[in-house]
Amino acid sequence: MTKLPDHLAPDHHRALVQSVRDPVNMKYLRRFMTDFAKDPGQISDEQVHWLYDQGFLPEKIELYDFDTHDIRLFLSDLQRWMTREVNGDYSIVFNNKILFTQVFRNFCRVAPINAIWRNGRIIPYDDVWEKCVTGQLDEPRKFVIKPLGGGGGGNVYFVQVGKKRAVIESNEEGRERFTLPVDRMMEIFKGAKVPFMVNEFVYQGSFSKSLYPLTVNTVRMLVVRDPETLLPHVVRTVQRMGTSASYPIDNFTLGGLSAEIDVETGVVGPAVAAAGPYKGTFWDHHPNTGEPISGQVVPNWQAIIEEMKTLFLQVPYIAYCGFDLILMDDGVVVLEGNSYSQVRLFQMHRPLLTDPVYVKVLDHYGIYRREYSAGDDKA
Amino acid sequence: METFVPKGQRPPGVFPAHPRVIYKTKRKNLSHEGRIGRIDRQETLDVFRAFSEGFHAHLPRLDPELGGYLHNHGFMPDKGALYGLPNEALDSYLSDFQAMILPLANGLNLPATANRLLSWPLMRRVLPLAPRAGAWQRGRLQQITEGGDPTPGETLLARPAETAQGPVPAPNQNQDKHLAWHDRLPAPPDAARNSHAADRLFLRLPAGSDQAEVIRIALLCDPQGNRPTVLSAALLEAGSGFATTSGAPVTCRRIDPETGLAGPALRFLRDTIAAPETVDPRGRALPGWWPAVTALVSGLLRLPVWAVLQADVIEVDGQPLIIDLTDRLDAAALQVHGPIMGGETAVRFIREYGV
Repeated sequence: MTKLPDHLAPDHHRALVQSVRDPVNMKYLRRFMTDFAKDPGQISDEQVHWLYDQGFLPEKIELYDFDTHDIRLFLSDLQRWMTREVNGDYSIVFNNKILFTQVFRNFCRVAPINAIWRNGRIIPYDDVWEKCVTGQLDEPRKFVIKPLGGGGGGNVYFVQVGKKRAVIESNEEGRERFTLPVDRMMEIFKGAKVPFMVNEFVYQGSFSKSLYPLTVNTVRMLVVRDPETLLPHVVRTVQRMGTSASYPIDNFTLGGLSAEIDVETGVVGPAVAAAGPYKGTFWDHHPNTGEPISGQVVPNWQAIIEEMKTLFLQVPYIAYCGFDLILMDDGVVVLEGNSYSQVRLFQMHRPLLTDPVYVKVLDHYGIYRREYSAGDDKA
Repeated sequence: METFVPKGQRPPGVFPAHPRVIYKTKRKNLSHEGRIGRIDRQETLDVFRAFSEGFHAHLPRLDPELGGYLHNHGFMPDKGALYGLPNEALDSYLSDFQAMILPLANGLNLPATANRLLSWPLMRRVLPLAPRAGAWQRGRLQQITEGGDPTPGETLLARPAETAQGPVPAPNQNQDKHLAWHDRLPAPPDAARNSHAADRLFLRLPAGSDQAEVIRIALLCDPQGNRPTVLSAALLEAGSGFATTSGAPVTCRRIDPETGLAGPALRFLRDTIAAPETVDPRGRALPGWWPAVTALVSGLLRLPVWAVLQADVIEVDGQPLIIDLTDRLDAAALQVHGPIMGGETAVRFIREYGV
């Protein structure tokens, strides 16, 4: 069992759970309590209170290595929900993908938006969609259609458009692969209740492609702003990879893999899955392609880190973000930002609270409590 | 000189005519799930936290699907079997979480209604309460002389001071019986000195009444007319009304508030899931019903400090004698025969008080 570092208080998880008093965080505590009750994670009667009192959902027993690492080194589920408030009103930049693209395209490469589908009609951002549905494309092109809000990878469509027909692949059950005449492409949105955005497909660089060529394999980089120096700090980075279970996307929740990239060296570690057939094993080679994962070095890693830190400095109102990056041969494309990044894909390798700067950020925003007693409320 | 008071505020020292907190809950938002989803006040979250901790203390864990359903609708694990949940009448049941937040409707009077040491002397002026023999307060014994000299066969009934506590056994009690009344109260244990949890109220019961049937009546202040109204009532058969442990079996009948007729009896174990067993299929008239209701309603009209109240009443020499007052409704005994919150009074109450 790893020793508790000096920057962590011995009972900080319980202190945080007990100290929740403001209406915003009450919402997250309430959500934790209701989610805990219905979580299907298999835990013993003794583990119920151990996890509940510290703000962890039962599923974490299976996902996190509590035998090797002290539970106090992990970011709890309650804390992770509370990180949603760190960026304050500016979270909208990440929660609204149109706004994200419009803001971040000024500072970095982003995937361009071609059109928005909303309330049964297409709102074009350029003439590409019109060319698609009228068969006027000069050459076949590929697009990604995904919901405007929300993560989790649900309902993502990859559309290969030719002169007459479009081939659509998705992770939607019952519509895994189908074709439509180009003039009926609107049928992709049949039954949809939420707005979608149409993006130009970004062809990943050779390193990412080598890991699993059938999906775009993105990097998730957690960046925070040190509250004292106001400088960006890269907390953790993982390389995600698609698998046959997650195809056509690399989503971790749907069976994709996550491998930690050493922030200092760019060396990739073994990969794990949180769901699907590849769960429960550390993979040094990709389970489908046999390509080596562990020990690989991300090309131009230091340049990527510097580019992301520079980007973070250019948006000074952002304090916490999990960036999704597509590694190109000549830099990165910033696919999206997550204001309250999922942390399972980081913590299945090792806990996050080993990083003192990260804990300092949590402390600054009230997501970490050294101690708590009932008298604190009266003070 | 006249003090300026901003619009919507009251001058210092002037208390509202009624401690009611009006939420104007929409009728469509009366579901249990919606109630939990709308928790946005600290005191309600604290109650939900206590409910949730109590739920998880119930071992072994239920299947997550049923457990999540019950927890997220505010019901303790045992209610799944006791009420036959899930069922279509779910929102008409008083959930355990709801029963825990109902006392908040007593508003500014909550300190008095939630503590028997305060409520008993307060309500004694207007209600036929069992006389007090004494109390434990922070480890001190306080003798109280009420009801005259002891008579042979009298017994002592111990109640926790805080209504949030469940039934407690009396000190030095033998085999679930009540203390013999010998003109001397038992001394509080040393551990009681620093805690209100051990505070007790001791009541005197006439000879033989510890085996009486108990009428358990739940009353709400009906916003329409602003008067106490019987929500539901149950007749607890001999022994059941004086249970001193939460695991004791209870035999009870539902009483029709309109007629005072007690229906068929059901027997159940409170903390363990047991199939109710029909003891006696016949109903019967209760001679003590109307005197009990009349005494309660007239008394509460004279001193309207309760918006939610549950009273236990026994009959002594043809007269009602109240042996308990609490702001905590006994959801299991009142609902084992069916839900109690589907009526218009209950709906009006929830919409008015937001609980």
